[in-house]
Amino acid sequence: MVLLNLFRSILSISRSTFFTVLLTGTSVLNADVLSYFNPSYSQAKIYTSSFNTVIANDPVSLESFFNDWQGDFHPHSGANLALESSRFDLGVVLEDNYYIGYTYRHDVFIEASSDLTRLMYLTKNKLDLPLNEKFDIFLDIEGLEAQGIVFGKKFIFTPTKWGEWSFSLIGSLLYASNTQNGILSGDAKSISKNDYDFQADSYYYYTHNYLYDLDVQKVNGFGFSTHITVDYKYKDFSITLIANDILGKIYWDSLPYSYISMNSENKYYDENGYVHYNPTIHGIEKTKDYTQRLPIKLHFEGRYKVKEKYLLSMGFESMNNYIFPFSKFTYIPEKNKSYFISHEYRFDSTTIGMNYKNIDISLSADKIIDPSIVGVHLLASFHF
Amino acid sequence: MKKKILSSGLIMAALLVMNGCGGGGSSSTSSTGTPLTQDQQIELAQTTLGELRTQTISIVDYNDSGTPGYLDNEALNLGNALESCSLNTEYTAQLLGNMTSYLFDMIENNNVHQVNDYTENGADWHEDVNCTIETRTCTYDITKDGVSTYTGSVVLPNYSADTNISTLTTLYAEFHGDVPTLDESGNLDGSQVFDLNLTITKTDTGADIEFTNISLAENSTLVGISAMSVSTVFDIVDDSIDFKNAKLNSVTFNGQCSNYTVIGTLRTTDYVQNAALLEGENENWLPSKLSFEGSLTNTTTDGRISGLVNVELKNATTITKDGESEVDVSVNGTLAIPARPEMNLGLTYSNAVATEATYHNFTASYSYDAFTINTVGVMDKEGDNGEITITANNGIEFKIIIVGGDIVEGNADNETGSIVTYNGTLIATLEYREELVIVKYLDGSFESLP
Repeated sequence: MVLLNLFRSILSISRSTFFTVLLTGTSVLNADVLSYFNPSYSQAKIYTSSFNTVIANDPVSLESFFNDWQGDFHPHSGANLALESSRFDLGVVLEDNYYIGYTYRHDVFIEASSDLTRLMYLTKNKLDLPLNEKFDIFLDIEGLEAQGIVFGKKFIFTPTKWGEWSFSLIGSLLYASNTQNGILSGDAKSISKNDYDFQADSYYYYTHNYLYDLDVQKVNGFGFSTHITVDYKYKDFSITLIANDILGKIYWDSLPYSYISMNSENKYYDENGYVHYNPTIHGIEKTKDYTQRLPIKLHFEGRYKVKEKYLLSMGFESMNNYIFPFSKFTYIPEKNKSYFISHEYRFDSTTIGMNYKNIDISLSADKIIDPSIVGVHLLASFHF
Repeated sequence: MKKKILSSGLIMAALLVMNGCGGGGSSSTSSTGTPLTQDQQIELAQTTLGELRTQTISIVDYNDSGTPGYLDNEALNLGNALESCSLNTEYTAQLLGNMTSYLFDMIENNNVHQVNDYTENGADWHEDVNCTIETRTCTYDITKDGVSTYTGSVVLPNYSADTNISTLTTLYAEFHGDVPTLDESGNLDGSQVFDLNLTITKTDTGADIEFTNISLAENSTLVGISAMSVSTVFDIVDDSIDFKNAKLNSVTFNGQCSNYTVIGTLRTTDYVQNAALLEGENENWLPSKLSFEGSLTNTTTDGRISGLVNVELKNATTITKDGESEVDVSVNGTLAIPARPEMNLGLTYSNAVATEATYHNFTASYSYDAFTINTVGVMDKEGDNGEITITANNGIEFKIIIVGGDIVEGNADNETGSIVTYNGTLIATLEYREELVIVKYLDGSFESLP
């Protein structure tokens, strides 16, 4: 049960932060799964703000996830994901397309093996375990909460017969207040319908220990990140490429670190045939200087204008080698007004949204009742 | 709740284990004679704790993790063995009782009994097997379904026909041979081999009874009681024996059951009278001191438990039926566990001079090779509060304080609570990680107790 408590604690990291993010988080664009920095450069001399938050979970619905996995089980066939991606940006676009602003971001990305999610679901719901079955245990968590200043410039190139180009180069200085970064790996074998043996190792950097109850001294990290955005348009065809957190790093001094080795079958024999027992759990707790590399987020979208009022889009988002493909249909009845509907195929979520003058709003979910993914996206800009 | 289980387990470990420890004997310095560095001290403590853990889990299933310990296994296997080795002793017990009472009858009442008096069950005794005083030693032959099946010999007391039996002070008899077992209907069934020497010595108040060379075997099973001594006090009333009391002096075990052999002697060395407890039974005589010296050996694995156990009921004269016993217990012996070095084990337990707060007092010493660990513990009556100190002869000492069933976490700053020291220098604290107790060393490393 110790093992499962640890898993539950890790996965529940999103719970406490999610509602905080709903109140304070933000982002840009009508993204489906991930949040990006991509402010409006529609005009100079505007204030722009954006809020974006998405929370998603593969094996069970969000309600079940926060209710000790009580509910339907619908794991992904491969690795299972649980993520929360949120950010809030407030800035100003100056003349010559310079941008400066404030940013707050909160990201959690958890990857778990299918076996692990199945073992958790069976044990949490007190269901019979299959006898003598081996479960592969793997859990990878990355998380960051940070705020800082963002500055950048959008370069708009003179249109040529080959089309129109623009390029945005953005840098940010970040002050990080929380982080989670660790891996848990091992295996378990069911030995009866309600018991199992396990062995697992964990390497874990953190500002708050969700693996087990441990008070640690509060530390903060400092770092930077860079983003680029490329827009290209040729006749009725256009593309957008957003790459966030290129060369993103956070430097932590004296960050709490734990290496933990857990083992329920801890008997072994030495060379003389003497039996020895390892501890059920052992490891080291200390602080280490740590450089956290931020994973790159990609958003690529290609659009094709059908007649004057319709846009067909296809693209994908990507993070940590996972691809989230989507397609989108946009209806533009008049200038400064549009409606769209899109579908993301990894979490099977649908987004509907609209733009009216300087306000964008969209909502995402895979279903209305008991969803496994929910997203909210807002963007607003004002002249000054 | 789990914490209480853990702390109880810790006490159990301290009581039952008392460990050896890796590293070498007393070692306040390194092999080069220089004082140990903190890293070396921690390494020594980790090795010591590892050995403690190994010894604990080797002996008992410490944390109920599904990994059985030696005693768990042996208790289970011995139970299974005894279940398969049970003997039907109905016939032999009757035989033994008859022999004893008829000898008493002879010595007190001058009544002569013949062999077939020794048995009175449904066996068809052959007509010519009766023994008389003139023919002291005779054979018997018991038929089953008309076939001679059970044969043996009986030796009657040694006296002549003109002896006044009542003048004798000692009577001696023997029984050797096959005896039947009985089925559920009382009919002859299987066969056992029974041997017994019986000596009755008259005393001023009664008689001492000595059973020696007892052997009852069936197939590969040998009944474990080979000798027994009982002192009795009785009166003769109208030619009948009126027993007043009986005191068991000793019982010698020498049995074989499946792959287990038990050898040893249980002695009762002191009796006291307690009318409140026995209410006249056995004239209120109650054993107050017991000892057992012997061994239990698993002949398959060569695992062996041997030693001397002394138990004294300190309040034997005053304890009532609802009262609490005050005992002193000591164990000195060896424990040979397969794949482990043979361990010398010493345990004491006492609650005889207890207060509520210091009700359970125990010590334990354990050693093998060059290592010795001593444990001293004091716990309150409920076992929820107390202190246990485990000291190794390599300088490592674990001090464990328990309050309310939980281990008090150590404080490295003021060295209070549950701590680990090396020759008095703090090197670790005991802390909780969720429900697990861990030893947290000053260098940041940690390990759980079980």
